[in-house]
Amino acid sequence: MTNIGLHEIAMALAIMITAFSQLLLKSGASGQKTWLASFLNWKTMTGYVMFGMVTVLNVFAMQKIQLKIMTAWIALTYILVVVLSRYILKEHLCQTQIIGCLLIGIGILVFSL
Amino acid sequence: MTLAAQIVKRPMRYIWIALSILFQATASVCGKKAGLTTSNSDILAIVINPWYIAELSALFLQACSWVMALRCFPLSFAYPFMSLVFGLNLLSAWLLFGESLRLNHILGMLIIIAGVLEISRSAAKVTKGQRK
Repeated sequence: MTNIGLHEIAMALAIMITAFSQLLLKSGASGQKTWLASFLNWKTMTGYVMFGMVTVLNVFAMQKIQLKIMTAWIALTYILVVVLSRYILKEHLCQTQIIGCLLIGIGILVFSL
Repeated sequence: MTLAAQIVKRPMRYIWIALSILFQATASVCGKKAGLTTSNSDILAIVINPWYIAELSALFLQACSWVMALRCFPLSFAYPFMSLVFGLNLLSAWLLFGESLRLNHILGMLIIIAGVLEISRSAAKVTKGQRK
C-alpha cells in the first residue's frame, strides 16, 4: 500500500476545498440583486480565496505526486460537488448524476490499479 | 448539423472553448513545473516561483476565455468540452514529464471523462428545464 504523506494529504485537502469553494461560489452567486453583488459578498470572496489556497496546495502536492495521478484524483471533486449540493444546498439529484459519479469512481479505481 | 459542420461554419466562437481547454491544461503543466522546482513546504517559495505565477496567469486567461465561451454557448454545451483537459493532462504527463503510461491509465481516464460527460448531461437537462 502507498504511504500517505504530507503531499497526499495536501492533495486530499485541495480536492475537498475545491468542492466546498464551488458550493460557496454557487451560494454567493444565487439570489443576488445585481451582477456586482454576486461578486462582492463574503461567500464569493471566500470561494475565490479558497481557490487561491488550492493552487498552492496543488503545487505542494505535485512536488511528489505525478501529474497523471493528480489529474485522476482531482476528478473526485465532481463526485464531492454532487454529494455536497444534494446534502447542503438541497439540490435535486438525478439518475444521470449518480451514473456519472459512479463512472468517475470506477475510472479512478481502474486508473489506480 | 454535426459539430464538425458547426465548427467549419462559425469557427471563431469555438476558439474560446479551445483556448479555455488549452489554458486549463497549461495551468496544470505550470503547476507541475512549480512543484518540481520547489522542494519544500515553504509557502513563500511556492508563491514567488515563476512557474506558479505562470500557472495563475494561465488560470486567469482561462477564466477570461471561459466567460467569452459562455457568452457564445450555453454552459451545458460548453462544459463537456472541458473534460478534454483530463486527456490533455495525461498526454502532458507522458510527453513533458516522462511519466509512464499504462493501459489502465488510459482506460481509467476514458471512464472518468465518460463520467464527467454524463454529469454534464444532467446539467443540460437542468438548463433546458430552466429555459422552459
